[in-house]
Amino acid sequence: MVNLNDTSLSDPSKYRLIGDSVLTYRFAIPYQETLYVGDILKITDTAKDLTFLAKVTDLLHESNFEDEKWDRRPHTEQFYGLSEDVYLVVEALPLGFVDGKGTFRRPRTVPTKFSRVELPEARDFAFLQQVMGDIQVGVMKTGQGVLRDVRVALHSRVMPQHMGVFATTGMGKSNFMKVFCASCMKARQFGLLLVDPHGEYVAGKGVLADGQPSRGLAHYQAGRDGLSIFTIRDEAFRKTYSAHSLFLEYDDFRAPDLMLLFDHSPAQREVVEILEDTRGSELVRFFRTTEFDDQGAWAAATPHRDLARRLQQFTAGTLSVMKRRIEILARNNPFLREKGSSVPEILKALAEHRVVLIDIPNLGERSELFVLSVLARTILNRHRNEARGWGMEDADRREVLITIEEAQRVLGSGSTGTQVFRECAMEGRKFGVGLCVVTQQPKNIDPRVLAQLNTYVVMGLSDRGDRDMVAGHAKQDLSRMDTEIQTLEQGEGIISTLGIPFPVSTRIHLFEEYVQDLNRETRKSIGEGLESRF
Amino acid sequence: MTPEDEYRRDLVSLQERILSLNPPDLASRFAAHCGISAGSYQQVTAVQEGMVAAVDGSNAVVVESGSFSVAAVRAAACGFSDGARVFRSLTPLRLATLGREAKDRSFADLYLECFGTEPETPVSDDDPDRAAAVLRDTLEYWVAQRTAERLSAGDLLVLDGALRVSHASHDPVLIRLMKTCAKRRVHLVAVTKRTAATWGDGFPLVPAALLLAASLSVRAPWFLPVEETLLDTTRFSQWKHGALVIVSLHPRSPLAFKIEVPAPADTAEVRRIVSLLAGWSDDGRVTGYPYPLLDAHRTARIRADANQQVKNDLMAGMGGAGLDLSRFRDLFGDYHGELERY
Repeated sequence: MVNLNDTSLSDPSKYRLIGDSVLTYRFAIPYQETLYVGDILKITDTAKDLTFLAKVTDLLHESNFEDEKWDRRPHTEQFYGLSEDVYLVVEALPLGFVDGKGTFRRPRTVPTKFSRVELPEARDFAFLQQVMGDIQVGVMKTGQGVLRDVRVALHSRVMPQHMGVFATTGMGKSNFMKVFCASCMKARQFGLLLVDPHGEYVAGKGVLADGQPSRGLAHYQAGRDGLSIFTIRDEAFRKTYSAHSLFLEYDDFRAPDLMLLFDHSPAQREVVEILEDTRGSELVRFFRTTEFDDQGAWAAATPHRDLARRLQQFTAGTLSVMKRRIEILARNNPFLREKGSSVPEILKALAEHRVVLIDIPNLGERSELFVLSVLARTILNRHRNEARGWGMEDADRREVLITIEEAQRVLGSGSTGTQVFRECAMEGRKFGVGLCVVTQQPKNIDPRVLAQLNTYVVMGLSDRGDRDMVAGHAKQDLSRMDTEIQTLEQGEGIISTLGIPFPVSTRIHLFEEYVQDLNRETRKSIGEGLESRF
Repeated sequence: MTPEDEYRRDLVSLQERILSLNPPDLASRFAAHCGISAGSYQQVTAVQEGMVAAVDGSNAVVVESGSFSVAAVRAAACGFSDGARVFRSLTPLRLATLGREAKDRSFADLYLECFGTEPETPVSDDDPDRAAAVLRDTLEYWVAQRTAERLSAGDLLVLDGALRVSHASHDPVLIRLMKTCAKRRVHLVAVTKRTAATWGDGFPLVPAALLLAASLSVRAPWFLPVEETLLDTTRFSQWKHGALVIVSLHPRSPLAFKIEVPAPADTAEVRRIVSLLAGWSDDGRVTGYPYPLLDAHRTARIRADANQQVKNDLMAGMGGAGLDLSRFRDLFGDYHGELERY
C-alpha cells in the first residue's frame, strides 16, 4: 500500500544554528519575527553541555528561491506560503560560552550544528555577576530591552589603566560621568579628579525632559564622604554644598602650563623649555617687574640674575609676549594668587580616594585647561616620586583617575604643549595615574593614546571615522558592533573593559534615579541594622 | 554553400515558419474561424472560498544502463484555505526499474498497490521516459483520489495536465476520480501549462485566444469555452473526459492556459471554477498561475540533491550486498558524465 502522509506544517528549520564559523553564528528565523541588533541570544548545545551566548549584529532577508529577484517583480502584491522559504538570516557575534560548571569562557569553539537558539532569561546571565566590578553604571541592554537584574559595573582596579568615554553631543556623556562619579564616591577605591567649567556637576543645572530639576553629586547624601568640592563660587554656595574655596598659588604654576593655553612660536617654546624648572612665583615676579628692550639693558637692570643670563639671547619681542601671557594668566584666573593653595588639600582628598570636583563655572576654556594642567602635572610628579617608595605591586598604592573633557583639545595627534597629559597616558599607569578621556571626536585623539585605554565606553557615534578609530583600538573587537553603535539611543552605551569578558551593551542609569536609589539603599541598610539589634 | 551559409539558411527558414504562425490579422482570423466575439469571453470575479487543493507529481531517472534504468517518482497534494496552506501531503519516493516490466513488474505492482487491481494494459519497455511518466501519473491519480475524498462540497481540486489519460490503464482511474468529485460536489479542473492544441491548420490555440482578448479589450480574469471540433486534432481523444476552456486568471499577467473541466460543463460551473482559480492566482511569484499548483509542484519535485541521495543510497546498498563500486560503474557508467568533466 502506498503511503500518503500529511507533512507537518511546523517549521523546525528556524532558530537552529546553521553557521559554519567560530567567528560568526548564523541562523534563520521566520521572516515576520522581531529581533533587534544588539539582542543577546542563547545557543544551547546539548551534545556538549555548553551554553553559548551571541549578540545579534545583522539581520538579512533571504529566501530559498533560485530567482533572486522574486520579490521585486512589478505588481507583486500577494505572496502565499512564504513562511518556509522566506526568512530572516540572523548573524550574531559569539560572546563566549558557559560550561557545565557555570564558568564563562571565550568563544574558541563552535556550538554543535543545529543547536537551538533561544532568547535568554536573566538567570542565564548569572555568571556575569561574578565578573562584574564595583563601579556600577547601568543595566545590561539586549536589543530594545534591558535585563534589569544584570547590573553592569566596571572594575575599580582597572580604572587607573585609562578609560575613554566617546559620544556625540546629547548622547548622555554628562549623565554617564555623574553616574560614574556617584559610584566612585560609593566605592572609594581610587581618587577621581574632575574639572567642571560649566558648573553642572555639584548641584545639577537646568531641568530634565520631564521638567524636574537635574541633580548633582552633592545630592548623593549617603556618599557625601566620598566627595570633595573645590569651587570659585561664593560663600553661600560653599556652605550649602560643604565646598572648599579653590586657590592655586604662583608656585603651583610652571612655564610649560603656558603651552596649553597659547600658541607659541619656536622661539617662545624655547623660552618655555629654558624656564621649565623655574618656580612659578619667581616667573611671575620676574616678568611683572621687567620691561624688555632691544638693547638688552633689562638684563643688567633685573635683580633676577640667573633668569637674565638664561634669557638674554632672546629678543625683546619674544620676552614681551611671554610677559603679556603671564599677566593674562594672573589677571584672568581669580583663583590664582601669590600664596595659599588648595593643591595640598586636593591631593589629600584624592589620596583618600574621593571624587574631587573642581567647580569653575563661567571661567572659560583657558582656566579649565590651566587648572587641569597644573593639577595633572602635580599629581603625576607626586605619584612618580612616591612610586620610588613603593613597589609596583604595592597594595597600598594610591591611584588617581584624571578626567579630561573634550580631550581632543589636549590629546590630539598634532597638538603641542600637552606633554603632561601624554606622559599621564603613556606612563601614568605605572605610578597609579590614569586618564579618563572624554570626547565626541575620538578620531582626533592621538591613536597612541587610544591604544593605552583599557576601558571604552561608547555611547553613539554618528561619524564613521570616529567609529573606526574606536573599533580599531579597543581591547575587545568592536568592529562587528558597528551597526549597534550607530543605532544606540541616548543613555545607551557599549562598554568594553578588562575583567568583563565581552563588550556589554548597557542602558546607563539616569543619574537622578540612581542617586535616589543609592540614598534609599543606604537608609534601608541602617533600618535593617536597627531592627536586628533590638 | 559554406557551413555558415547552411546555418543561416536554416535560421531564415525557421523564422519564416514562426512568422507564418503569427500573421498580423491572427486575432480576426481566430475570431472568424471559431465564431468568437467579445461576448464569447466570460469575465469573472476572483474569489477565495472553501478549500482549493492541487495535486502534482514528479519523476526523475536515477541511474541508467544501456538496457534499463532506475526511476524515482512521487506525488504531492497541497490544500489552501483562507489565504494559507492547510495541509501538504506527500508520498514517499518510489523507485522503479524501466525497461524490464515483464520481469520486474514495477508499473504493475505500483498500480496494484494504488488501486487494488492489475492494470488492464502494461507499459511498454521501448520508451523508458514514457514509462516513467505513466508511473508518475499512477501515483498522481491515486493522490488525487485520496485528496478528493478529504474535500467537501464547494471545494476545488486542481490537477496538473488534462482530464484525459495518456495510458489506457488510467482511464478507469480518472473516471472514478471524476465520479468521486461529482458525488461529493467537489469542483474538478485540470490546468495545462503547455498545450499542443492548434486551429486553422497549425495556429497555436492559447496565444490566439489571448491576442483576441487583448484586441477586444477583455480584462482578465476571463474564460473562453472552445468547441473541440474547431481544433485541428485531438490527442488520445478516446480517453478524453473534459471540456476545453481557455482562461486568463489575472489582469496584470500575460499568461493564459488551457483548462479542462468535466464534460458536459454548464457555464455556471465553469464560471465558479475559474473564479476560484483566479482567487489563488495573484501570488507575486507566478502571477496569473494558480498558486496551489505551484506549491504542489514544489512539494513533489525531485531535485538534483534528492536524486543524488537516492543514487548514493543505492550504491551504498549495493556495496553492502557485495557489489563493488567498479562493477556498479560497469552497469551504470555514463560516458556523458565523464565527458561533462571536460
